[in-house]
Amino acid sequence: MKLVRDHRAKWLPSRHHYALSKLIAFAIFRYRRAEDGARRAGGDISADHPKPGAGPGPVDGAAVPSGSPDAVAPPSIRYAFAIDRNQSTPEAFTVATLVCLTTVADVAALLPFPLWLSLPVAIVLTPWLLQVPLYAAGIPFKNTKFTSVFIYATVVIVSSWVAAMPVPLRFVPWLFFAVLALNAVAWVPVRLLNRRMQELERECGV
Amino acid sequence: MSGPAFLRRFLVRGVFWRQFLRWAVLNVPIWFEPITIGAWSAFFLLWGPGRRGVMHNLKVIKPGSWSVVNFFRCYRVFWNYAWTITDNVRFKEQRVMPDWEFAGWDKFEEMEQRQGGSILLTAHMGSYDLGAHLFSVMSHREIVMVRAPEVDPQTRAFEETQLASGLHVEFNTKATDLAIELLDAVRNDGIIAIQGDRVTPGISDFPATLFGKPVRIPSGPFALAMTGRVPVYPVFVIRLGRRRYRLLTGKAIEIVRTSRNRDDDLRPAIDTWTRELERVIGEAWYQWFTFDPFFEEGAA
Repeated sequence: MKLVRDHRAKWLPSRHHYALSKLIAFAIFRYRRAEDGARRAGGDISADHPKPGAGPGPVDGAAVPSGSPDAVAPPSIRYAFAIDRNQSTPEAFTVATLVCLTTVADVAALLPFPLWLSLPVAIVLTPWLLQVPLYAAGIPFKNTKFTSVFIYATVVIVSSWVAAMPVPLRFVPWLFFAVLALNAVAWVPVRLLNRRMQELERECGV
Repeated sequence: MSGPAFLRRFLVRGVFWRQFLRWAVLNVPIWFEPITIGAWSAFFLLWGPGRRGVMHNLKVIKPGSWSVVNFFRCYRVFWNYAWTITDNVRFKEQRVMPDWEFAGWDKFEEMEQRQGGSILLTAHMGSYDLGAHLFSVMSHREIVMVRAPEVDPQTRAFEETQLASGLHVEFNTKATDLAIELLDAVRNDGIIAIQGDRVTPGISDFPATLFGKPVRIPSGPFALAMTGRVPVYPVFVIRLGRRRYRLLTGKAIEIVRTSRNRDDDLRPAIDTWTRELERVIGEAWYQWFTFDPFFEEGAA
């Protein structure tokens, strides 16, 4: 696995798995590059470096970002970004949240209780119900891709049923399908922009 | 642990959970991780002793805090622990590294450039294994990682087969033999990585104060530093988020033999360490993976 020090690598498309998130990452990378360029032209170098994450910092007071204009004080913070297609945290949590929300809506719609009761029950049950297809496919087949497709297929089948029901919650599965469709469509520009995405990687030293 | 061997594996520190974690890392789709980790972190809140231990420690770290709030803080500790051990196993199985932020880089360079070995002193925070491996990759020196063995024999046997390659690990089961080996390592310019926030049976300790409470701190690392005439660097691996860690290197603690009373010479260094430990734990309490009551009043 590659580790790169360029802070811009955080938004490299190759750190994302799905087409839609690759496209969004590409747009953010280009936007930040343009913003950094504009700020550098204005004489402000602080735009070049990310803010340190929250949490305990260095012992001796405030952190000094690498590239500080102070030539005497050595830089005391450095970064290393891993290049892996599953590295993006916003992507992982967005997908998990979307699938969870959709399943909560599906389960709440299918439970024979009023909404004020079925929603909290669905919220508690969903993380465990979603694990049923996980173990059903994961234990015998031991193939992550197949397991992922199996879970998605299960959610799609149940969501298709709920989407056709005359209940307010049907809009959540519709949102899920809309995102799936958007992701499928996003593959086209991702394919077309493949070379430009690879140029960004070279720029960051990958 | 009591009970038939087969059932023992399902206890909290039993081998089943280590095997389950390894299976999950290899078979759970990446996007599904937050769901499984969220659910199982909540499940482990049923582990009474662990939950009570963490809530007791939180009560000391955050005096005046409410128990109901500490219950949710306890979930956050379990959540962080689950992610940390997952990252650890993922690294061992698939060599997947997280993003790193190195704070105190100048201290690391100072350690690398100085003549002689060093001792890295850390706490049960973040990912000790990942941090030690990263050091072994970045440093030209040999790194020896000292850790306590697992309590359960089956778990211990399982973990010993899962050690990350390229890392020299020693278990502090035989203190005297190990001390000689470690002294040899630092005298040969090696780096010893050891956790200095928990005393295990058979390890020499020293009285100290943490968050205003009397505690016992391992004295071995400081005695080793004094004998080997090497500095102690406080190092903490703080989890900032999913696949994102900060490696925080603190200012070197020098221990110099000035009197006949060894304890008088160790005292200032241990006080410096506990002050640093208190600062970091105070800010990153959700990273301090101490599931037993740490403070003597709770342990009694």
